[in-house]
Amino acid sequence: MTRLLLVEDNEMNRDMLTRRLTRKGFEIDAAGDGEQALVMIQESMPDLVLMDMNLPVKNGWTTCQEIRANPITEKLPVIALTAHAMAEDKQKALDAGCDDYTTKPIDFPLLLEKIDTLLTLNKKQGS
Amino acid sequence: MLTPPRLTLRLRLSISIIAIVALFTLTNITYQVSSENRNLRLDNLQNAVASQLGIVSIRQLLENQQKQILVLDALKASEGENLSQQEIDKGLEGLISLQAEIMRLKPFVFSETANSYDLLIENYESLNQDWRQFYVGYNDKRTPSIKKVEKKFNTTMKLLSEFESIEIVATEQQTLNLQRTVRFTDRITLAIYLFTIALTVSLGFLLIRYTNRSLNELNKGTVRIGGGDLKYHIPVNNDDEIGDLTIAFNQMSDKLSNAMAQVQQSKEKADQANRSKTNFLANMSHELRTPLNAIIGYSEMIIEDYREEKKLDEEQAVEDLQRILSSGRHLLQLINDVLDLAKIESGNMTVFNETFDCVDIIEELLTTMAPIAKKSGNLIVLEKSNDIPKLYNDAVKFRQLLLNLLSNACKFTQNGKITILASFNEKNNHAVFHVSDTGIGMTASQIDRVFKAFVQADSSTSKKYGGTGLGLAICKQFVELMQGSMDVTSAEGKGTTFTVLLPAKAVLQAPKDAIPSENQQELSLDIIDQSLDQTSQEDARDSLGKVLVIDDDPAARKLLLRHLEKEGFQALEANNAQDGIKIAKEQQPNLILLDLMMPNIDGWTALSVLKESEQTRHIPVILQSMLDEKTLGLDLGTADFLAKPVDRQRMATALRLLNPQDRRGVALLIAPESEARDSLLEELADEAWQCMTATSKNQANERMEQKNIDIIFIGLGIKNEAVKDILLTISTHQQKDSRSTPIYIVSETPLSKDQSRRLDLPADQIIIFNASKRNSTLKKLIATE
Repeated sequence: MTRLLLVEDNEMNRDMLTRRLTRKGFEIDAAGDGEQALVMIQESMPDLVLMDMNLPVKNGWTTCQEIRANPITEKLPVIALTAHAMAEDKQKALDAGCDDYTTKPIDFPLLLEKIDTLLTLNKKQGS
Repeated sequence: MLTPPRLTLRLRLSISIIAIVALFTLTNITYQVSSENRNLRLDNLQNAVASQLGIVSIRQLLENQQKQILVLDALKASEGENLSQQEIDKGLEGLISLQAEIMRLKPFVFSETANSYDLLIENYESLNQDWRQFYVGYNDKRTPSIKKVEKKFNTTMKLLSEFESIEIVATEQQTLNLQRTVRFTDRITLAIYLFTIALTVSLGFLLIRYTNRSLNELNKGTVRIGGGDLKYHIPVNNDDEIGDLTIAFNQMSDKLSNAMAQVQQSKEKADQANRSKTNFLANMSHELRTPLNAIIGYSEMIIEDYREEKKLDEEQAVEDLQRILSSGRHLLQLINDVLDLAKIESGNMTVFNETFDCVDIIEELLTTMAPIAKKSGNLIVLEKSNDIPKLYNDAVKFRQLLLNLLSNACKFTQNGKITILASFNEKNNHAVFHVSDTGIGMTASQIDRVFKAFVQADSSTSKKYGGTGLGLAICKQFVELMQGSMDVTSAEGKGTTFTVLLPAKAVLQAPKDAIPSENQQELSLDIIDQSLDQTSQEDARDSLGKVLVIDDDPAARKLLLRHLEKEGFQALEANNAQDGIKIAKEQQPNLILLDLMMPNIDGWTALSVLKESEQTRHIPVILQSMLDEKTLGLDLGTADFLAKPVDRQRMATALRLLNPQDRRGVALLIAPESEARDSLLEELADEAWQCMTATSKNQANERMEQKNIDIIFIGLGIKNEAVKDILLTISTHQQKDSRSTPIYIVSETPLSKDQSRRLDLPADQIIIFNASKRNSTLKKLIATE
């Protein structure tokens, strides 16, 4: 089963995405901030990370940079989820090392597509 | 002390030219002197030659004469022959020419030779005498022989030779002197000439070098400034025209640099404004997207659930719907806040001033906040001093302000204490409100940003604590609109204290086109005092009737109830349309105040239900809304319309007019908005006049078109010229309708003779409205008209 790590501090959005993704057959781990996410990644590596950018304790950009800086998690796919919708926000997320970017409110089918693409790509690279 | 003259370029050039000309003149003079001397020397030589020649010829003539006389004397002695008269004359002639020859030497005599010459003349004259006698007395035999004359002749000859030799020496000496002078002047001329050339060359060189150097500096400066280095200053080395030019150039570059700085500054300001706008939009977008994400996400999920599983886990669905609802509400709050901010920023936010007891409102808020405080384990305490006067300000905004501060305090404090401290600063005449909490507090940089739109102390705060981040920005703006001030102190981890200062007494908003005068200031104060008295009077009055308030907002409802009770009505309340309709049917109120924006059944629906039912059709309904829906409301059968927040006086007037049996008539009051006007309106309403107001000629015209007016009041801040204009409009109107409405001019001060003459109105139509002592004329007038 594909395991996703959802990093989102907004309780409502976390609940909503967890339930919707679970229903689509994913196994979801949820973290409320960047620091927690890093700890969870250390404990057990997910297949992909969905990450909000405005996070308490450690924000999404820093968290993503740290994921990229660690050789073990270097290749871990990360999709940024953010309510910042300006062009430069997208660039900022990609610069931080995110593989893809999607704005809130989330277009769910598009998000699924992005997850699928990234997972396929990663599998190919891995094999 | 004399200051040395400025060594300007012109002065330098002038001095150079004068020096050259002076030297040139000097050269000429010396040359002239030398050439004169040369001429003198030539003359001298010529004279010397002439005098030598003269001397030689004199010597010859003297010797000839001597010989001739000696011969004649010998002849006379030997032959005794007489001389003819002709021969005697010839001899005398010879003597004369000899004398002339000697006299001709006189011009050549030098001072050195003068003595010798005089001696010569003296001797010669004596000789000449003797010779003359010889010739004259030749034919006379008694004349002695001339022999003895020989001695005189020799002396004369000797003196002539002496004179000759002295003359030669003197001439030589003279010539030598002249030659020396000529040589000297020649030397001087040459020296001056050479000096002039040297001076001209060096002055020219210096001038060229100096001018070049200054111009080079200037050129270097212009190139640098031209290249954009506006800070560069050309060094000012000379106090002359080029120096002046340099100074002027530096000043010009300074001005240019200042202008550039200003342009730069405005550009930065514009850029900053643009950035803030972009930031605002980005923030706005972010803030809107966050709740929308939940709304869309949950809605989609519910649809999916329903479609895919064909059944709904009801409990789950309700929970999700509630999340959608709360996100929606958050969104609405956000939009309202943004609109509020926009309204404030565009200057469209109005302040509705009224007299209110701030402690009442605070106590009411404590009740509202109690459940929220309880949830976070907080204790709210009110500490107040007893001397706080009633405030004349915007009560609704005051309430919103304190509510916001209290809910913020509750939001950021867990199991702590929130204190409201209300006091009165008599010195500054300010009511002071402190709202303190023992919550998380803020850092210095957070304090700096706390009143800025969309900035919560920490950007993650909104997620943790909720809120739009606009509340404090709005509060700050509100306080400023209310002519107060707001401040914050905070210590991280210890808590935060917000302090609000509000003017305790009359906040007079001067009518825009009236000149505020001391009189008016006093008047407005009086009105307030008076309205306070009135309030207490009204409290004692019997109930005027039942009024039902239907409004979902508890705060607005409470405020209206309070007003109604103060006006002497018995107030009923309902927090939704359903209950409201039920109460209306059961209690049969005299009037219903209906809010338009309500959940479930909105005001419009409620209105149609009320108007359709037999039981409630006759009850007048006054609509109240944030939006101006007056026309639509009146079309649907409402009695009046009140814009929210409801102005107390406006409401009181509206309520009174609903008792048709008491209505006296329609009064039109043409005056700008002012406290005095409101006071007059109140008086009219007290006497059951239906009042209409207009602030301009055009508006007055409109009012007269709308309704038949029974009485017109003009004044209280309208300018004299405008009054005349309005009078003209009214009379045109009345001619059209063939009506004659009484017109009264209302003034705070007695009119001068000149003023009343210009208005051309009978004196009894001019009323002095002095609100401090109720005007009995007016009272009588509006009670009897």
